Amino acid sequence: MPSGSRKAVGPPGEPRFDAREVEEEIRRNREANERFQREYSEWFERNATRRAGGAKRTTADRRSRP
Amino acid sequence: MTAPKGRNPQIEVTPRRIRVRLRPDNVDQLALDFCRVLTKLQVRYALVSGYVAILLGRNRLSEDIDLFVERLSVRQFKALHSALTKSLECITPGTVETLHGSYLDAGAESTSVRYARPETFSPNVEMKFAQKPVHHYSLSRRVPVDVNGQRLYIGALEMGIVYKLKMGSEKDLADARWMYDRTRERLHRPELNKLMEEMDAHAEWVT
Repeated sequence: MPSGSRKAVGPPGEPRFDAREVEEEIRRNREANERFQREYSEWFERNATRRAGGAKRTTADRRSRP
Repeated sequence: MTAPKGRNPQIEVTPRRIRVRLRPDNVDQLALDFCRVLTKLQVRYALVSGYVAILLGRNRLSEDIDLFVERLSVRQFKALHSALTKSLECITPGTVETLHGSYLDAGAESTSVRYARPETFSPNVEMKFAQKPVHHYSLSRRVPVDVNGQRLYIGALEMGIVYKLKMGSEKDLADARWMYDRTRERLHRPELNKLMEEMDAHAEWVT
């Protein structure tokens, strides 16, 4: 698989990064991680209960994932 | 009584190289396996965030391994996804096209796709396309790390430290300090200071 081209960080003399954009990204990532943890913990708890006794996970289980 | 065997990480940082020797735990093994696939398919990547501090010997738990890859076409991503899902499960729902178009390459709304060992969701690898200047910076200045003889790449150290400072939680600040202390010999101080200024980040221990 060919590697993609490297994107330049920015023209010389221009500000390279926007601190506010970075702060916004950090906020969004934090929210997404919390949502992921919450939804998957709940999903696994539900399915662990349903599969009690050793039943294998089904395609329906997979499709019901968050 | 014999003491339990831990990771026992041995880190060697010189201006020329970073070498890590450890007994991989399940998080390390997931990172090693995932990166092996990326390397095999010649996908440019960089590990970033908390796992970098852990790889460099910090003793804390982590539930995810964050990494950026270069932006891939649908065809390239299909090949990668197919190779990854031979041993891992993609725990983000959707078809390959959806994963690419609605998650990884969705413009300003782009987000990650996660892979984990089958039947689990933790630990997982959180993979994103490099989309923003900070991501491209990390990727274009990535640093090779020899881990038990396997070459992994971590994002630019200076950016990793500054980004952790910006994240700002107690854990993140400790990660930043750890990375700084462990990689002093390799850090480009003027660049670190410039990044801190540009990103409005502060730490009294950065000298």
